[in-house]
Amino acid sequence: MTLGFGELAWVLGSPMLLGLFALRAVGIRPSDDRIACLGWAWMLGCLALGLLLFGWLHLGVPAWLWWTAVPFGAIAIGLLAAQPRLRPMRARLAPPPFDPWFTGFVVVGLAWCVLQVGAGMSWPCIEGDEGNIWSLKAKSLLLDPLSSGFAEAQRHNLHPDYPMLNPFLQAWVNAGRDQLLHFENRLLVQCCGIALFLALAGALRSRLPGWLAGLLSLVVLLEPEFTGQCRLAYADGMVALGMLVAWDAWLRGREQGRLAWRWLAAAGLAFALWSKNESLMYAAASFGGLLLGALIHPPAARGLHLRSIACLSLPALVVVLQAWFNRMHGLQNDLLGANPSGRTLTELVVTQFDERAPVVAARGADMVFSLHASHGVFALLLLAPLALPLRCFSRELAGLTFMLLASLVGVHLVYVGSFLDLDFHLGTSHARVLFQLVPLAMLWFACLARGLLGTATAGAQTVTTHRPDAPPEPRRDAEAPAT
Amino acid sequence: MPGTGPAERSAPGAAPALVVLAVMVAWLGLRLPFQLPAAAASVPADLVKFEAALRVAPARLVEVAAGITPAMVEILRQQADGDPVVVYGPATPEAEAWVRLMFERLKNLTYPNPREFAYALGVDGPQGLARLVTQANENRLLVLDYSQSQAELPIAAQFDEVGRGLHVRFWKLRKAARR
Repeated sequence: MTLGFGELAWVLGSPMLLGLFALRAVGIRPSDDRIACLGWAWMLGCLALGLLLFGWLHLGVPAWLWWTAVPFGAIAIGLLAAQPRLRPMRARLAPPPFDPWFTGFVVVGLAWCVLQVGAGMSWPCIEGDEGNIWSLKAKSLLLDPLSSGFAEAQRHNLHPDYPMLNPFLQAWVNAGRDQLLHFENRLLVQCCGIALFLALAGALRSRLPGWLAGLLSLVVLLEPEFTGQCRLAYADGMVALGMLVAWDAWLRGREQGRLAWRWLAAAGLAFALWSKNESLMYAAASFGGLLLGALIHPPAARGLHLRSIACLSLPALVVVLQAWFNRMHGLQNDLLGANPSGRTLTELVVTQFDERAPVVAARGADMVFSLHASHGVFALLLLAPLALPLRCFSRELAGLTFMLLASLVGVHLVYVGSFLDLDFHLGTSHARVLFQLVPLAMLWFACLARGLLGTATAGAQTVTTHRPDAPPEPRRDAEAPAT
Repeated sequence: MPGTGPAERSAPGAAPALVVLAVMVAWLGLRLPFQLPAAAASVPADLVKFEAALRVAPARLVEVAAGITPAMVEILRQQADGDPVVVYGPATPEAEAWVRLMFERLKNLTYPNPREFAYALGVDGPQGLARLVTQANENRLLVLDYSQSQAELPIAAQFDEVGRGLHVRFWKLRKAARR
């Protein structure tokens, strides 16, 4: 570790500060979820820092002055937070009460995550995807930011068009030290693994009793793919974090009717979209799933949905910025034909389907029904709609169920249409890429389990009456009045 | 439970719902008997790695993890300042993985100097060393020979050995064809 305490505090504190400001600007208060809010703040802070650095880079601000992005961003976001219409509104549903056992579990889980981060920092970031894609791009951002040298440096990179948030977060650490680092450069990306744990624990606890939320969180916490995300600079954990926050916030927004949740959901989607290309597929699956869900359960009111469209400006912005960046540097997507075979994903899927589909399906089944991996939650996703169709396709869950099923199929189709050797491609990435959906699938399961627990609880009482200690029935699909 | 409306409570009864839930939770919980012992067993080694990350110099960590010493980086930068570099090994399946790995490590560790990195497997063929042994590369091309052979490079050209490192010899191309 070459960073001193002050440097470490600055490197890690800057995105956290921006994130806390951004959370306030969005309209979310820490009391909405005291555990998850730290994960949300980290995610928002990293997104804000990435966008600021993107702007600084293209304004020609030299790397040694990149630190100025933080005070500028804090002031800008602070002014946004002061806008009356964006001030936090009173939560309609009370957050779960303080649970010392679950809080203790989260603290132990955090210690486990920090151990993984520290252990990962003993390994240089110079090989595999983290060395060849992510950290190389981060170095190029500082050395060849606006020249042909950027694309030239990526010539051995199989995915030169991958999104730039991860490289910007690494470049931030390098710029702060004015040196290309090979260990500490990962720090912000590694901390996205910690944020994922916090966001997941909060999402599960807000829907389930502490013991069950703890059990499900533990299954993810001990998953080797999760610890890998805490150790290395891969972007798969960032995708998992963004998609989890997007759907968690979307579902909370449906229950509570606060526009703030829609903004958080949009920020989660933007974060995922700017992290890795799979998110484009997940975003399409999400919108498709929500559309199908709306066809099955037509929404009662349209007001909030129309206003939600403004929130989409954030994910749209990062997609446009990334497309512009790739176009400027001539970076192309391998799935669209920029690969040694010269054929697109669709063409390869058609020609290779008979040969590869059985192998890919068998590999998927192995992973899904394995007892060793947290990916076993996908087995429930595949079987539960058959056993509990009314619950899986209820108003609350239909969109997410459709999204996860479509994404599961989509991920495997990419392997069918891969130009790479199938064994190599599956062996090096299948479990890691599927993990992007595991935390979201855990959220889906939590929603399903909440319904089943509610049935069991209600069955023990009068079916038509509320529990005395139950919170008020939430308003669905309607904006809450500002208070 | 929050968000559980009366309509959603009208489906199955309490007992079947609990049984279904118990089966699903058990399925997920079945992972823990595998995960917990593995996680517990990994803690001592991870603590050692954590301590190394805090106390050991980065150059030493790179040497231990990647087999690249500071002296090797020094030779590389001195001998290939702006010149092309090729990581070479024999064209065998065992050597290929190693050569490609060292190519990645060296390229990423030393970027941006040198910038022009390639790897070569064997002498002939599309990935062979011969494609880079050209007059244009005379007094420029630096070959990192990971064949671990004590003989000269198996190609009809004049090279000078300019250094040695962990499992590697550094050769500078002088003449593309031997006199």
